[in-house]
Amino acid sequence: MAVLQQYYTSYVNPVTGTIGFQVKATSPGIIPAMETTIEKLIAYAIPPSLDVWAIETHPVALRYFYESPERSYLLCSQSCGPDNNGRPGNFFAHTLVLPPDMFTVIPPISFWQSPFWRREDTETRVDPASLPVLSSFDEEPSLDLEGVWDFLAREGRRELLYKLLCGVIYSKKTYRRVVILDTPEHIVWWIAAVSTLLPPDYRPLLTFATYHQDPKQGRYLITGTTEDSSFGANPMDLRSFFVLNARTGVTSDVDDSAYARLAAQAATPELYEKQLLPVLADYIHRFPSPTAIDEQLNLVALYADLHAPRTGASLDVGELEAIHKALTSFEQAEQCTAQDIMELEYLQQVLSQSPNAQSSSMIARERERIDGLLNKYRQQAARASDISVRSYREPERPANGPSNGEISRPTGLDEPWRQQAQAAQTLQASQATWMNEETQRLAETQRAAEEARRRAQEAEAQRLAEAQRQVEAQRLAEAQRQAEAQRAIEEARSRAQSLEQALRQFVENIIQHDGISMRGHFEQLQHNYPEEDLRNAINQPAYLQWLIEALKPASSWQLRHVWETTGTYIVPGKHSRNVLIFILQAVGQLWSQQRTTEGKELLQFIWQVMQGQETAWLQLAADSYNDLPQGIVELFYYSLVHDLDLEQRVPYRSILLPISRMLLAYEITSDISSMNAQQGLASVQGWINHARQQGYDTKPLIAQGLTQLQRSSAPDEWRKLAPDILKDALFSPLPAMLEEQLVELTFSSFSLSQFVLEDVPFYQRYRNHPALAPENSQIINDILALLQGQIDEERALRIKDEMESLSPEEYQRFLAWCMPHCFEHSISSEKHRSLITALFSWQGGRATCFWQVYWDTFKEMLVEPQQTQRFVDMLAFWFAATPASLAQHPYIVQDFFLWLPEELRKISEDRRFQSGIQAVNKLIEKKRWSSTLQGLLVEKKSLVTTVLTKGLSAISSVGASFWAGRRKNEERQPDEKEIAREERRQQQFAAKVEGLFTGKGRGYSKRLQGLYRESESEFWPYYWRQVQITLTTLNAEEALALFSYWFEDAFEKFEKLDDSDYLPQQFFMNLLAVLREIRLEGGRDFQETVRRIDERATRELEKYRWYLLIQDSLIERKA
Amino acid sequence: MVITCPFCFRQFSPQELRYRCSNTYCPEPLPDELYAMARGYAPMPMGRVLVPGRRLFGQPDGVACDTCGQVSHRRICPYCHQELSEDIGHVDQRIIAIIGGRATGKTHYIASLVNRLKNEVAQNFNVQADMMNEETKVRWENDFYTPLFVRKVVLQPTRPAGIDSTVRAPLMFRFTFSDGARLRAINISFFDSAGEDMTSVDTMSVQNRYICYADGIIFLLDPLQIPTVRQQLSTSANVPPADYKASPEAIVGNLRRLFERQQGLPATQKVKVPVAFTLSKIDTLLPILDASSALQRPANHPGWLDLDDVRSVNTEISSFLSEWINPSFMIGVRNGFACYNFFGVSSLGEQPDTNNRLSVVSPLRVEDPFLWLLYKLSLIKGRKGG
Repeated sequence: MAVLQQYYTSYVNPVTGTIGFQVKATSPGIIPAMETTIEKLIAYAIPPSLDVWAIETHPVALRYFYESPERSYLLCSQSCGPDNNGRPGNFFAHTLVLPPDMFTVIPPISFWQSPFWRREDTETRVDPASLPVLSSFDEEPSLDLEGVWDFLAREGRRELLYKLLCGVIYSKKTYRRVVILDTPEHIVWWIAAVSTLLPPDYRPLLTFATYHQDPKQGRYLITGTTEDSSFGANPMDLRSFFVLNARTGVTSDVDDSAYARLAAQAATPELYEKQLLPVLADYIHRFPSPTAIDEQLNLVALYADLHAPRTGASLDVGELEAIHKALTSFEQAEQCTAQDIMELEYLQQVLSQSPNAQSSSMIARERERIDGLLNKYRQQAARASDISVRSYREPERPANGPSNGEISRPTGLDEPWRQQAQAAQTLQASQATWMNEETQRLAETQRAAEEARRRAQEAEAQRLAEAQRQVEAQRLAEAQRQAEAQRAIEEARSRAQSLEQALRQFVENIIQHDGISMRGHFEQLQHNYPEEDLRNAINQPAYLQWLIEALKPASSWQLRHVWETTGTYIVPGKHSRNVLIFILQAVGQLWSQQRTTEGKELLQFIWQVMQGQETAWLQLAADSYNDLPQGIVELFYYSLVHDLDLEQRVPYRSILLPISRMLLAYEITSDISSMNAQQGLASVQGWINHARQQGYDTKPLIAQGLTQLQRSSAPDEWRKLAPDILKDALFSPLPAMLEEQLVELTFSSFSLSQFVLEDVPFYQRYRNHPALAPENSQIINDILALLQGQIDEERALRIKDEMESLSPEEYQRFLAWCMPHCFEHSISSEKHRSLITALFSWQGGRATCFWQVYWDTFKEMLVEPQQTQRFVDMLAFWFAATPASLAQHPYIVQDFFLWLPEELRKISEDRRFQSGIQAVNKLIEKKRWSSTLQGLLVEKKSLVTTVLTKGLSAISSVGASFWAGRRKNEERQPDEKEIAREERRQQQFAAKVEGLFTGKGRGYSKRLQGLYRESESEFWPYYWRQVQITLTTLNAEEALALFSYWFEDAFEKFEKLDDSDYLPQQFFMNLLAVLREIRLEGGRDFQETVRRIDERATRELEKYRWYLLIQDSLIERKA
Repeated sequence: MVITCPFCFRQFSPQELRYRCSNTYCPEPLPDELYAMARGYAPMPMGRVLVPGRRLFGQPDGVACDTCGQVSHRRICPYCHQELSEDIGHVDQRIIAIIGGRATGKTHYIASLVNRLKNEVAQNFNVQADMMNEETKVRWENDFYTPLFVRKVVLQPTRPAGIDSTVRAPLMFRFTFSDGARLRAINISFFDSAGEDMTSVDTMSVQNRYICYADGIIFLLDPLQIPTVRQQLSTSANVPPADYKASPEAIVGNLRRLFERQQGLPATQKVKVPVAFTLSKIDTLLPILDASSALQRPANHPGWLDLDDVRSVNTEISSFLSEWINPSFMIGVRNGFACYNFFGVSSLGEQPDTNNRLSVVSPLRVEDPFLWLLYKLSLIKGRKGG
């Protein structure tokens, strides 16, 4: 029994220069796992209300922690004054690592204030591993447990003890650890009392700390703390822990425990001897060895209670469970004693006498078990083994019943018991007589058979003697060969033994000299022995078993070193299974201690050594799956395959897949966890494709892969991936929650700028998804409606608002794909209007962009002859449109007509559209507005020329054109009268037109219409002449009033007058060309008038907003 | 909206929040292993973890326990199950890491800083500082306020997180700023660490993960660990033993490597988190400083950060450090960190007597680095020529 030690405190390490809390000294053999455990047990802080400098008042913390049947920790942490910086709060922890079995007799609390514990270490240690390993821990107990009785006798503590014991017994079931608030000394006695009253096998399981500053951190079943600690401040603490506050007498609520009742009642020196000890002596062995302090103790108490006088009450569930469990121990026993049989018979009686014996199936079942056990024992006796008969007879009892205190029987049951015993003895006697007769008969038969066999053997010997002589020579030769072979075998065996010895020595050297390479030694072995011998020796099961034991305390470096040398010879197979389990457990331990880098290195070494036999080792790991900690086999597998393509992994994966349900999940998450977001997405895609090929269930893989991808991506990266994941059909169907989250992420910052045509199906899929914000859902539905030509005014207005939030570039990009798509289908005027409402904008240069895309869209239509109708529909829409009908965008109609001639000119000049234009001309022939376009949709004729023909040039040649027409019709020269009349008429007409400019007044539009109808061909030349005059009068107000009429009022006025002449449209179609002509003609007065117009209009831009539409045509800007 | 847990730093949406049944008498408390693991406790029964019904947006105000029916408003992190403030997700959260070698005065600095923030600075900036949870209140009282300001004794060393998991939890404060009509709240978590946990990148990456998630770092440098200073002060100050493993160069190097390891920061990029490199214990330096030194006088930040003062302290301290420490230290800082400034503070105002007791605690300039971080995080304003 090696006992290891460790000192921990804050000090200056003279060798490394490290200052602060650290291990001061340790015994060789304290492995890292132990150090980690010790670290979690030793923390000490001075209670907040104490003077930090008064060390003698600081509580000493004796702590005990049970880890396994082989290992426990007993330590003493105590305050030790200032650290090297003079700060208070240094502590010294002296820890022992020792097997717990010694505490069955002497509970660990007995070492409270033992002089053994060090509170300082003044020695300067160059090597920290300088503490001795103790061969045993044979310190004398320093706490006299007899003091427990005095302690309990005072201040009503026995009642509290009962509660405390209940808390201890139910701690495992309720996960509630026990916290005692009392003085440090009293806490020691409470722990001592519980220890004393527990059965011996349970005592090493009682972990405790006599003091801990933070009981929540403590890992002990019982933790003592001071009242000034932070513990208990929260009412939930009373539920989360079993709290015993000895000062107030308050405890947490706890269920009743039969054992606690029994033990608390017996908590005096006399009753302890009389009541508790006999129960423990007689019945505790009927129950399995404890692995924890739990309700099994209640079963012990109940079972003991069954043997006390009963009042005829029915057996309850607890008692039946106690019987059930005790019977199991009978069933598992290889031999029985008379005491066992009597106890069984007694239990049978208890069961049958229970008032609920007939109705309870549980009782029936237990009675059957007892019947079976009794039959078995009786048959054993009947098979006449003297030993068993003796053992059945052995406990000679006086006629008046049981004695010696071995089993204390209730007197009320004495008589039935005696009758049973007599009946059993009678049965036994008759069986013994029958046995004697049978034995005699058998002996005679055996003697006769023996004689016959002897004679046959003699005859056979004679017959064979001759033949034997003949082969004697051969046999001698053969024997000689065999002897030689035997010698060779002996030599080989001897060599194998010395090899095994050398191998053991080699491993022991590594273990004893951590960090020192023994490779040279192994190379020597390789030199001295053939490879086959090494392989045979290393693969001997006994050697491998020894190796495992030897490597238990090894560090990861040592494991690696042993593995890279001897490991290369280990052949995978049943015999090496435990080695594999051991090494993988070591990896698992490194992992659990968060020493993953070491773990990975070790795994890497393992696989290097296993190279060439990967499949066999992996198969062996698979066979050991249930013997290894969860996840280790997967880790082992993954460390082999992580660099391989998914396809290359298949043969290895197929080994584990049938047994590991988590393999694929582990593999995909491990793959992704080491990648960036984009790589991760590609990896998940690769995985799903691979899974489909391999026939794996892709649904969980999608969920696991994407969940891991989310974990390993930064939030921004994940947000960027979200739409890609949603669009990728590979991931369909996505888990609902994930899909919801992705939709929310994708659309949370959704704007029109992200809308692209290719994604229309995607938007259609998610347009009404519940995770979408209502406003996002609405705008997506609006856009989709727009694209399908199903837009209405309400949607149009919403889209208009969205459009205005786009940057110019985004606006242009959006229009460029959206507009052609919208006009792919024939749309009604109403939809056309809504579309204009939605997409048009006057904001900074966007109108230009809009018209460019708009006209490009229609130009492209003319390439396809069958689409020309749409072009005509478009023109018809505009001729039918009024500013009021497109009120969202003031002056858009005027703007359209201002630029219509220019756009038509461009179209006319493009050779590709010649046939289209002809078709258009044909289609518009019958339209009422077609005459206004006369000459515009012609081939290769300058619009300017056209306008001049209809406009200014005509002003000077009005008469000529008139007469030309007359000449053509009448084929005769006009006479002077006619000429004079015509000139007079023209002057009158010109005066009427001029009259339009001298006074506006009521009925202005009607007069204008009347004059136009009076002479359609002459009206515009005279009108434009007057416009030109107006622009040279230096009267800006008059000119602005003229334009204001056309821009602001004309459409409305003429609409009321049933304008079949489209006069406003004609005005705007010609206006820009006319202005350019006038500007070319120029003149000082014109320039001054225009300057004044510009000055006034720009100053009062709110009033003359339309001015910007003609400004560039009116004035010549300086570069 | 994304929430970052101030304990485990995992990020999640408000819909993922969990709640803990707060009814002490709920019949079925269960052991909460996630919480226990995060706190370094053994599992113990606690209020049940409640999962709110499916929601698309936002977080419910409360969730009814499926066992006792009582509505709970106690929000917990879905990953570590530690309790979050009720306004999580609604109030801005920041993490400030106080780091430095052993005995550089981190715990004293936190104590003095918080005390100043609750008093003088609170007045100047019209800010109210409240402790956000019971654990912070108890720790503040037991480990900081009472020993230092009531009993006037130097504080105990912080125990390494490996042996005492208490230090893994931050001290959490709510600062409420008022600019007359408008209130603005911010939750700030302070993380303290043992100097022992700063001596290797391995330990830092296990025990001090918070550093890489911090919004600002106050990096304390102990002038008494700088050999040049030790020589000059050897007669006038109570010079502690030299701790070469905790030298400023070593810990700055570790900090830089921590970001490289945990955040994958390329070697060619600088750490972007603002770092206030702060010389502690400047009261010990006063004898060797010029009388006109900015460090000789207290700072004045009357509702905004005095940027002129910050600049002059920065110039002064950086020139001291260039002179005192190996030049590679300043090169390391310049090359490794994108946003940094030098400060000087004294948490106690005087050195403790030979019995390690204090006559008075009069901190000097302790708020400077903190206010600079707030300024860098756009939480307060700064002015020149103030």
